[in-house]
Amino acid sequence: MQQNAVELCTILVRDTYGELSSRVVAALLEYGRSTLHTIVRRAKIPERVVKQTLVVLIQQHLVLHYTNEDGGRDATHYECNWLQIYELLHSGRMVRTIEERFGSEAASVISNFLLLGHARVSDFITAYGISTKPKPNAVLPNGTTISASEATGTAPITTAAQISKHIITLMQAKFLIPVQVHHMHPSVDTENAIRQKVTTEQVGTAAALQARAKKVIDEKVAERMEALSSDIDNKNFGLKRKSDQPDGRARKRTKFSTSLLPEEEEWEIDGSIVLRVNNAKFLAIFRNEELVRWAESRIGKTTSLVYAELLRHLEKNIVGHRTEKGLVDGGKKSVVSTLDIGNTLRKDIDLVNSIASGPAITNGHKRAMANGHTTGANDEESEGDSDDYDLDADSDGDVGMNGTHELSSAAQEKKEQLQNIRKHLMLLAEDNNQFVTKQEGSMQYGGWTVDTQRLCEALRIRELEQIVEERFGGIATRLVRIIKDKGKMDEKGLADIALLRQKDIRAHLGTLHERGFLHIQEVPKTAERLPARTFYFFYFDEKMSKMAMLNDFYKAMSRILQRIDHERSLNSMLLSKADRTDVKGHEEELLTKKELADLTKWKRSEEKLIGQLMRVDRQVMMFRDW
Amino acid sequence: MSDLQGLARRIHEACGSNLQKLYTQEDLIPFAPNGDSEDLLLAINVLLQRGYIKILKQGDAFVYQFLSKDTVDRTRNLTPDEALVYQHIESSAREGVWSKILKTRTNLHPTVLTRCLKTLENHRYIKSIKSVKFPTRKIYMLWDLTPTIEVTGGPWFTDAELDADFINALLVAIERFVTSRSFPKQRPGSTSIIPFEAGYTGYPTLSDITQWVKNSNLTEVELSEADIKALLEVLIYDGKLERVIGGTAYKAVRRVEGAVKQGVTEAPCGRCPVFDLCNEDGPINAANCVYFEKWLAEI
Repeated sequence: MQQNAVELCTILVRDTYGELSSRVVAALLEYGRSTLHTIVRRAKIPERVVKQTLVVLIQQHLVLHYTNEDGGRDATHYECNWLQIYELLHSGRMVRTIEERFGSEAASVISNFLLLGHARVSDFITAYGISTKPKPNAVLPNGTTISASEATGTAPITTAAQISKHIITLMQAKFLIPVQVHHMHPSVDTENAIRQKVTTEQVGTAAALQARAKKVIDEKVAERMEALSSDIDNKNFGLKRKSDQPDGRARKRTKFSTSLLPEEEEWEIDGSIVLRVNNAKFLAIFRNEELVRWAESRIGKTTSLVYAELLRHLEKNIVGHRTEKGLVDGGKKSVVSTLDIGNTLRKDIDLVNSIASGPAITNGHKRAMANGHTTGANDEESEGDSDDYDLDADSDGDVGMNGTHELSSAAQEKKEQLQNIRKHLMLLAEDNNQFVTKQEGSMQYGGWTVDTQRLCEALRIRELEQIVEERFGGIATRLVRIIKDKGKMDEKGLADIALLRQKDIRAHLGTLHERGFLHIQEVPKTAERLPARTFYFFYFDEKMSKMAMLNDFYKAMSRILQRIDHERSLNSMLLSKADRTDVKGHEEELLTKKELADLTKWKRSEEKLIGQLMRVDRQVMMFRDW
Repeated sequence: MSDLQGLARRIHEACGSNLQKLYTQEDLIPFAPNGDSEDLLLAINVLLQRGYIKILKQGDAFVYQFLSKDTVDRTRNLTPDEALVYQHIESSAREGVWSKILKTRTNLHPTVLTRCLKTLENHRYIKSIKSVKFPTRKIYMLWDLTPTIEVTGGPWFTDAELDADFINALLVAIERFVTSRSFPKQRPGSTSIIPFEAGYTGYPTLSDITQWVKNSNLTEVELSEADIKALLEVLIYDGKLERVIGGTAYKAVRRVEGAVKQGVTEAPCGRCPVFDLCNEDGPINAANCVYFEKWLAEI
C-alpha cells in the first residue's frame, strides 16, 4: 500500500462519509490491521464513536473484520479494504452503465445498493414500498449528486414486484451478488483458517511439516479458496427457482408482453438473502469498453462496433474475480459465434463500405471464395427446383449471381450481413494485437474468443508508452521500446539501434531513470569499480514502472480532489446561497450577474476537474485492476 | 635504377614493370647465369636494400613484389625510422593503425615517432583519420587509401559523426511511402480512413522499400537492404510502422486525428516539474498550485 494511495483513500472517505470515518480509515490505513483499542488510541476518538463508525464502514465493505477464535480470549481485528474505498470513485460509472443496459429503474436499484453497501432483499423492497418521497440521491465522492430524476428515471417504481424483477435481472447478470461470509473477512484470514483446517485434516502434524505435505496443503487451500467464490459463478445463485429466461436482455423485452407474464412468476428471489454490488463485474465491463475504444483507434469505427457486440455477448457470462494476476472473468472460456453477433448487431451499421478490398488480383480470388460460400450455404436451404438453377448457373460460369436470385431477399441479406461481420472479425483477429481469436469448429461462419488478459497486458504497455511519449517526447519512447524489446542495453548499443548520437540520448535516459521508467544495472569491468570502468545497462521492468506510475496516479488524483475542495471553499458563500431551497431553480432571478457568472465558472472548473479525475481513474484501472 | 648493377638490374628491367605479380625464388632463377642461386641471392639482397622489392609471405614460401618507381622514390628519401613507421602504416591497409600500436610495434621513442609521423604527414604519404568506434584515437593510414566501413561507420556517418538530419529525412520519407501503401485511397466524401480487408497482401516488403528508396533519388549514398531495415526498425520503435504478414511486410499504424490524450499527462500533475515536492501541508500544494490555476483558466 503506497503512501499516496493512503492519502487518496482518506480523502475519498472524508468526502463521502465525513471527517469521523476518514479519521478511522486513516488510522487503519496508516497502521494496518488493528484491534478496536488500537484504533481508539490512534484516531483519538471515543470508543463508542469508533464503534459506530466501524459499523458504517463494515456495512459499506470498506472495513473487514476477523475474530480469532483459537486463543482463550477472542480478539477481533479490523482491516481496511482500500480497493473497495477506491471503488467509491466508480459509482457514477456504474449507475450509468446499468442505465444504458437495463434502463433508469434498474439504475436506481443499483444506486441504492451502492448507497447501502449491502442490504437484505426483503428490507430493501419494504424500504421502497414505504417511501413515497424521491429516492435518496447517490452521492459521488466529489460531492456532486446524481440528481433524483437521473437516478430514478422518469417512471418511479411503484410496486414491489417491479423492484424484485429488476433485482433478479441484475442478479442474473451478476451485477448484484449475494454477500457471503468471506466477503466480510480479509482474504488472508480466510486462507489461514482454511489452511489450519486442512492441516489438521492431514494425518500427523510431523508429516505436515514436510515439504511434500506442505505442497499438498497449499494445493488444497488454493482449491478451497476458489470454491468459496465459485458459488457465484452459478447463474441463478441466490434465486429460489430456476428461470427459463436465458438472460436479462430477453427478460427486458418480455417485460411489456403480457403473454409471457406467467412464465416470469415461476421464480423469485429469496427475501432473506443479503445482496451487494459486484464491483468486479463492472470492472470487466469498463475493461471491455476500453478494448473497444482501442480497436476503434487501430482499425476503424465500424469494426469496433462489431467488436463491442462480440464483447457484449461474452459479458453475460462474466462474473469477475479479482486476483493477483488481474481480473479473471470466471466461468469457462466462452465462444461467441458469428451468428450470435449477427442476431443482435444493429442493422443500420454500414458493414460493407468500411473495408476496402485489395487490388484486382486479390479481389478476384476473394470473390471466388465468397461465391463458394454463397453456393455452399445455398445448397442447404434452397428448395427442390433450385438445383436446376444451379446447374444452369454453372454452365454460365456465374454461380454467385444466380445464387442471389435464388434466396428470398431477407435470407440473402442475412447471409451477406454475416459474411461482412466475419470480415470485420477477421480484421480483428489479424491485427498485431489479436483482438479476437478464431476458433475452428462446427459453428457456421466461425466462433470467436477473446484473450482479455493478454490484451490488457498489451494495452498497459501501450498506455505506458503513450505516457512516456507525452511526458518525455518521441526519442524517449523510441528508447523505452528498444530496451523493452532487447532487454538490458548499454548506452552505446542503444545509440546504434536508435540511430542517434550517444550524447543525444544520454539526457533522455537520465530523466527516464529518474522518473522510474528505466532502471540501471552496473557491471564493473575491474575490481576497483571505477565509474569510468563500469558498464551501465539500462533495463525496463514493467512491474516496477507500473508501481511508479500508479503512485503518481494516486497522487495526481488526490491533488485534483484537493483542488476541487479549494475551489469550493473559494466560492463557499456563493455556493451556499445557490444551495438555499428558495434560490434553487430560480437562480436567474435571485442571483446577481456576477454571482451567476461565478457560478457557471465554478461549475465548469468542477466539471473539468472531475472529468480529469475520471480519466486518471481509467488509467488506474488499466494498471491495477485489469 | 641507375644504382643497380649486373644481375639485379637485369631482373628489375625484366620484372619491374609488372607490379601485380608476385615472384617466387624459382621464377627468378632463370635470370641467374648458370642457375647460380648464390648470385641471385646477392642480387635480391641489393634490390631489397635499395627498396625496389619487398618480401611477402605466401603460405610457407617467401615471394617478392616489385614496387612502383613512385614508392621507391618515396621510401628512398625517408630516414630508416621513417621507413619503418611507413612500412607499418602501409601494412595496416584500409583499417588504419592506432598510434599507440605503432609505438609498441616499432619500439621507437615517442618523440622520434611523433617526428616521423609529422614528416610523413607533411609529405602527404600518410594521413590521420577519425574512427567511429574510437573517436579519441589517432589512427593513421596511407594518404591515397579510403577507410573501410568499420572505420567510417557506414552510410549514417559523415565525418565520423552520426548524420541526424540525413537519417530523419529518410525516416520521414519511408514512413510516408509505407503509409501511402497501407490504406486504400480515400473515397471522396468519406472522412475516415478505412482499412484493407484481412488477408490483404499488398503491404510493402523490405525489398519493395529498398527499391523505392533507390529509385527515388533521395540520396546518393548507396543503401543496402540491411541499412533500410535498420531505418524500418527505428520506425517500428517509434510506433509509426508495424510488421505484418509474419514480419515480412510493413504497414503504417493508423493514426486518429485528435486522438484522446492521456488523462494524467493532460492534467497539470502529469507534467508538473515539482510533483515530488507537492504535499498537502507543504509549501507547494493543490490549493496554491499555479499550474492548476493556469489549466483551469484554459476552459
